[in-house]
Amino acid sequence: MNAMDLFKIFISAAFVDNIILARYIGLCPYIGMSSNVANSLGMGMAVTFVMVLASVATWVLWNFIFVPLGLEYLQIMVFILVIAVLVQLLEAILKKTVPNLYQAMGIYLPLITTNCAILAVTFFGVDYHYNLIQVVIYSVGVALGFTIALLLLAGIREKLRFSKVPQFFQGSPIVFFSTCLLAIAFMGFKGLVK
Amino acid sequence: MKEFWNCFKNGIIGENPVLRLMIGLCSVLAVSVRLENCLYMGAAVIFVLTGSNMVISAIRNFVPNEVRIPIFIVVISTFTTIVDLVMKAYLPALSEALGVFIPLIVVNCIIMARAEAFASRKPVLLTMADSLGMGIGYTMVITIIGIIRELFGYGQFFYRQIFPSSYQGMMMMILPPGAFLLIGLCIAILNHFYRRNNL
Amino acid sequence: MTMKNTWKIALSLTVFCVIAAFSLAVVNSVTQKEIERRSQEDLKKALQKVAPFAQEFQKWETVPPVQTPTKDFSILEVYEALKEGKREGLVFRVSTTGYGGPIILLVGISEEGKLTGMEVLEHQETPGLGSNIESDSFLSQFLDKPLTDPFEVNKDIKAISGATISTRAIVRACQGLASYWEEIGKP
Repeated sequence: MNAMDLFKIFISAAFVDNIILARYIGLCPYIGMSSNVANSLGMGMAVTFVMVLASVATWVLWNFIFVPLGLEYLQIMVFILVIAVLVQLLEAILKKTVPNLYQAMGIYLPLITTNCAILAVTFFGVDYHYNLIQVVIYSVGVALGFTIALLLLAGIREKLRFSKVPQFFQGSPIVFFSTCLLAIAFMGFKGLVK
Repeated sequence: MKEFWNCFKNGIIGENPVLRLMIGLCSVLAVSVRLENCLYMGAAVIFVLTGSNMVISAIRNFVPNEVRIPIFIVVISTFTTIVDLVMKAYLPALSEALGVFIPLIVVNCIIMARAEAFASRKPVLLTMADSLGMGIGYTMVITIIGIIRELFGYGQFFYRQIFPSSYQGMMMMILPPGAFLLIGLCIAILNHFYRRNNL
Repeated sequence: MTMKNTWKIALSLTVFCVIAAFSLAVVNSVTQKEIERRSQEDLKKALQKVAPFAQEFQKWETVPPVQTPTKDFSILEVYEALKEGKREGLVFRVSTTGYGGPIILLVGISEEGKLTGMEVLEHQETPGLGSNIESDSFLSQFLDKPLTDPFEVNKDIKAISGATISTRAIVRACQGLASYWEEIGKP
């Protein structure tokens, strides 16, 4: 395992296979939380935190408990429960120990349990047969890609408020059109990692 | 009877989960490159949605309020796993095509939202009507998008060539940008319709 | 009161989890067999397609290791294609790197070193462009070519328009197999 391979995993997770713009995963928070930059930054932070912890926790459980015991069919249930428990724990711990951080991202935590991006990353981490270091790098990459996509859209939406959008496209349609353009831009990353 | 009908209709038109509430979008965009995928995805969602919400509604009086969410998750993930395993065993090609989006039904916001808002409060039969309505509303949207994407992307309908074979295929329709564009257009048209009729 | 409540919560959670896990175990026991049977069958079908001359296949356990590795190419598994108990060729399951990630191929080679068939098992190429590596019109140009061919894009292999990298990935797999074929002492 060398640094170059890890870098490749990171870049392809963050840009080439951007979880939102290339794989269509995590669209609910993407549309719901992108109305302003501050909110989307908080959401991005919370997602990063939980995503990395969740993929490490599920990876360890999967490779040391479920595969040896042949309980692969419980994957979906266990992974989603791990994420739910993790979110609850994190909320309680942050509230007690780092109140500042809790204020910044606390309100986003409950929303994360049903964030498909996090569950998807835990699945992919296991599916791709990554080792522990690769899983960490991969999940950080995906989370960064998620945050970047969220921030880009939030920036656009803040500007959109001051522009005259035809009535037909007002509201969410224009958000999807912006996403379409972002997705075209991100297609430029395809073929970057070989 | 009227009540059932209203609950059923609500999911298809009034509060269509995808176009009005904008939840459960991921799978709509991801699997809709082929019409066949859409229909099976719709069936899978209807099964999980109806099955798990009926169970949730049936057990709603035995579930302590504090742990209701984890228990809902357990129920939903049981149904999702059943769909996943059955598809892997009997429809392997489709299971491959739908990929991670079958397991991801478990976090499909439609199901959790309906469990919280409806199933945990209402009796079983009403819940069934509501879930079926929501599921069919979802399936309708994904089918419409699937037809358009397959037709323009491949020039085909259900794998059958419709456009002359010299048709090159509109790449954009198959790729993510086209999906985003199309769903935006669908929502715009529906919104326009609602505005016109002052709904 | 609170103590009683805690017990009630714990109990209900446990009961529901046990019921759920049990019902999944039942479903799994039924589907598991079917999944295994199907994957065996699929593999057999794909093997038969790339090596139509053979009657049965056997996994080759003592595969000689690759001496000079080709970049972005690796041999995953090798099957011996048997006809009336005699080895008539080999089928290679190989991985090569395309535009969107690894491409997994099944390549059949007859004993005299001719390509007898090729199947794309997995790929993540761009739909509509690179995904055409699966098409018969592309794959059929490899049929019956001896491994001694140069395998050069736009010379003996016609590239898919707009997907040169995907084409090259397949060609690379052929070149890699050719050099391996030479290494293990086949003509």
